[in-house]
Amino acid sequence: MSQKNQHQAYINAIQTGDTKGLREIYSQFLPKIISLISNNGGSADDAQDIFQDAILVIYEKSKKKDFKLSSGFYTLLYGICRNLWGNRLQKSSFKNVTLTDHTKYTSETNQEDALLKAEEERVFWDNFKKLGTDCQKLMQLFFEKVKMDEITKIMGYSSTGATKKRKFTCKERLLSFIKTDVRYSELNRNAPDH
Amino acid sequence: MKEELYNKIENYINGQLAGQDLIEFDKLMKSDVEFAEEVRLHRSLQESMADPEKRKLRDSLDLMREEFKDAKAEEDKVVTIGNSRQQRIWWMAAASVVLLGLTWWFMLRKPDIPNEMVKDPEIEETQEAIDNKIDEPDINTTIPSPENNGDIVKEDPPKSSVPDDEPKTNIDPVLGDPTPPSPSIDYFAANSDIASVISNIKEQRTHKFNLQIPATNERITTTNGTVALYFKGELISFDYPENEKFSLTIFDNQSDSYQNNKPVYQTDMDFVKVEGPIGFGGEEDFTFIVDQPVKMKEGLYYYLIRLSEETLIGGTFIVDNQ
Repeated sequence: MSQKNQHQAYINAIQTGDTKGLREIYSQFLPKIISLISNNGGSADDAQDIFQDAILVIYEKSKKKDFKLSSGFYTLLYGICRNLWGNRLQKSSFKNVTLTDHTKYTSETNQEDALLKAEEERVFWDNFKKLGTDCQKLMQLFFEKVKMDEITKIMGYSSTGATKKRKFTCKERLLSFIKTDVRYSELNRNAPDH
Repeated sequence: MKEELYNKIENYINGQLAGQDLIEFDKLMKSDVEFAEEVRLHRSLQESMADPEKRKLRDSLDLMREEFKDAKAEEDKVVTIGNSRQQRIWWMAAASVVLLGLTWWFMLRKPDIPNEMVKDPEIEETQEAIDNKIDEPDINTTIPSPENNGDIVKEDPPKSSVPDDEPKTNIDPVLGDPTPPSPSIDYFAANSDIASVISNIKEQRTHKFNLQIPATNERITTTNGTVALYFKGELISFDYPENEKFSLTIFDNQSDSYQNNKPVYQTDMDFVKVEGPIGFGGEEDFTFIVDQPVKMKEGLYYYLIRLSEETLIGGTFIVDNQ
């Protein structure tokens, strides 16, 4: 496979969530990103977070009609990881690590928004996974805009009224998890233009 | 009441608020920062979770995280090789001489040594990287400065990014790390052939399944010994079989359940064709839902989706007591 095709194959794996392709991306690039993050004051766990967020940023970018992989895949991944980690360092109180400037790796003006979105979505997802299975299933159907009577049928509830009540309880719980997540307040403090 | 407020916010987000209600809502948004933030949160959450493909990607990424949780930073395996091209060529030439000498010596002493031992893949890779001028940035690259317009300062790559075929992990790709999440229940995989069946499933070209629910290792609650079993997903088929049925089969974690073909649950699957044009490759899109209460105890379970005797996808989930 040519390099260009290989890079495109990585993008396809991200777009389809194909575990085989993702496994290849992880085995090729995660150790390098762990090096990047650990050389700049982070842990392997931080690197895993950043790596995941970067892949989701690439997913979002690749869904756009005008997306074109102008650089190599790793160059793109590296740049996003670097900026995500730079953002996080700015928000934290690390004193032993400094980025020499705030210049972004790419000149795209919407990069900052994409990074903030990825960080916020991580908070959403982590807290969503804290819900019980039933609540997760119900909320997923709700977010996918499945009609209430269909949700009632799928979930086996007695009436649409009961489904609405349960949906409110689950959403309330999810929002409360999110609002009490320290990462969420940090994001809000640092993103007044939300 | 909070429930009414949530409903109003959802109606607003979905463009279903009109008239006086909409005017008042907009007014409140402008005057109350906290309320505006609440609406933004509802909207962001909705947008973030609405995409089933993204949910699938997140599930896959969570699985990868488990598989690669012991991944380490890349070590400088070629630390003795310098940064300049001249140095690298010199070192490669020197290494080749040493390797040739060692090869000759080993062949004299042990003529049955495998050929792979003779090669130094790292050096081959480095040469290939030089030849291909790989655009991979150096991890230790200087942080971009305004002078270089944000571009990475590219130095000679010390290592190549030539992909390997196999992932560099010893963790079972199906079962992940065998650490039990709870000491009260035995979540270790039994000595069952099914784990290797699942891990050896070949990528399907004719029938591609995207399983949205359950996620791998999802924890499902059992109430009074009954699980509301729910499988949901999509099938893209390039050759949908008219005369054969896809089946969903679930096995427990007993070592002989799979060997003796004693599933906990088995059903033929029904598919609903998604209306729309057939793809360029002749593929058709279907959705499926299996929704059935099943008697299940706590523990680790395996599912297989099969067509005749061929296993197309498989995975695991966990049943917990509430």
